[in-house]
Amino acid sequence: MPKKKQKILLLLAGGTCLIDKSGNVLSVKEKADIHTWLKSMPELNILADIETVLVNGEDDIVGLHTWQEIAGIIDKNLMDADAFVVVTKIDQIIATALSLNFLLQNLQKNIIVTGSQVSGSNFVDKKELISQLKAKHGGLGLRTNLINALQATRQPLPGVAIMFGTRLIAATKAVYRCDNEINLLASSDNSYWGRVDFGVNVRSDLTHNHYPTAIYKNLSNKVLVIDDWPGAPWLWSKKDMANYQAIVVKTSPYQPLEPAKQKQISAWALPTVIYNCQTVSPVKGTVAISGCSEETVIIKTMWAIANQKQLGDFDSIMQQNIIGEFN
Amino acid sequence: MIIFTPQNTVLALTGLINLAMGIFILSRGQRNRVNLYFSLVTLANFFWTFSLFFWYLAWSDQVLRLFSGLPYTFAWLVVVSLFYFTINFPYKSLKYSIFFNYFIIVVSVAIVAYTTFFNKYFVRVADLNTNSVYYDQWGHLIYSILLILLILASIMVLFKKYKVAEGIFKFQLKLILIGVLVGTIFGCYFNLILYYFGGFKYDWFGPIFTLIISIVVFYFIYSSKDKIHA
Repeated sequence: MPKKKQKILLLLAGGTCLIDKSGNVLSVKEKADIHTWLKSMPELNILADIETVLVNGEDDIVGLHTWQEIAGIIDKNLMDADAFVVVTKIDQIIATALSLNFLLQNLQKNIIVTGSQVSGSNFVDKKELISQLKAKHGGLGLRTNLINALQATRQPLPGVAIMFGTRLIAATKAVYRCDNEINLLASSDNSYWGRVDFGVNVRSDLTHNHYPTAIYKNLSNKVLVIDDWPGAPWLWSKKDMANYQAIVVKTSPYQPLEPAKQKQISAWALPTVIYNCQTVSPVKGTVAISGCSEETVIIKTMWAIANQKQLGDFDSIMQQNIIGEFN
Repeated sequence: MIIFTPQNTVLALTGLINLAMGIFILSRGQRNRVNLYFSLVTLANFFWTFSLFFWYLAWSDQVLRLFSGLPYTFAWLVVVSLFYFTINFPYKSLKYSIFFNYFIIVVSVAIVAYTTFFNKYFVRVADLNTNSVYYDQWGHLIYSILLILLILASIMVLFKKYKVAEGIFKFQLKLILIGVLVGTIFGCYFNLILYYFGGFKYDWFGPIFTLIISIVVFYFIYSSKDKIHA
């Protein structure tokens, strides 16, 4: 009955805070911290053979370069590891998972992103939250999230997933919604890939995608995201726009974009996405997108712009269902 | 002969609930060790309960002897499955060598053989006319010590896990620990300790308490509102 232990590559990019046996908060700021950090979770090495890679320290900024680096490391280790677990900051979990999903498409290995409820090694401002979580839930959630993530890697998943609290969520469906103190993330349609009820219960009908694997290296950071408020003018000139390669405009669902703003968009002549999660009024010369999460649209734009040469027409790529973002 | 006396009705219902729970949990995925070991616990509970059920219906001395030994066989299997369940719930928390596994298997085979195939050495007297059953004192004592040791080991594993657990696991382990404590304490009292002193009158009480852990598991599964079906 004993199965071969899975080889898991654990990538650390912030979100590593946990409370050890003696009540101290531990996190991984540098490579030297990894040994003590891992030692405080002996269960992990019982569940899998773990190899750890430090991508970012706890206090480093997680962003586009981190995501690209993580994708590169995963790509390099595809043959060696059975699955990949990425630990990152709670506020970057969705963006990290989506970036990996767009950069590493249709892999035949699982990637699960998780993290602690608390990030950053300066605990003064989080003292109250930490003591509250410790008293009520016995810790900051990372140990549980990691154990669940490791267990969830045993079943095939169609894309990158997020394991947080009691939920295994498809990256494309994940939204920040604090349903209770344990679950800070939810699925936009309330349907999950798995949940923790009696053990980790992953949907049995899930399989890896059978489309050809596609690996991309870059995301573009030259995407301007505008949160439009009707009546508030856009004060950017064409010169300001020279620094950008694309624009994402978040609009209201039932009002068209004001004519002056439509004119500005056509004057800027940049690939532009008009987005609202419910519905959106089309604007000439732009791509209107609804029915997916805000983070998905932004990350997809960053990916589509960075890989335009390879992908071709921006508008049609943005409207295609690449990683199940429109499901 | 009345088959469904109040005692037998309770035993039959308890057994059937355990059987249903075992099949239900197994249908959730037998590759998952939590599901596998828990369904083994409930299926062994089913057989234990039904061996007690048939003890009440014994129609000859041989049958009485058989069904005086079989509850011990299945009770041991319940506790072995429970032990492996506690190691694996909600995640595997203990590394054990293959030799430990062999040791458990050898002890289990010995106990099964002793209480089933060589039960004349275990059940010294089984007399239907006087409705009396006497167990070999040493055999019963050694069996009881082994069973209690394994139960204590299971409780210790759960307690150690509970102490370091956080979030959902802390809550779940607390409920499972309560279920296991209540189930094993009352199970041992009514079906081991009272037996030792010749008290068979209340043996149908023991299996009822095994239902607590099933109720707890049922609660875990159905209290979650998150949908996971396609």
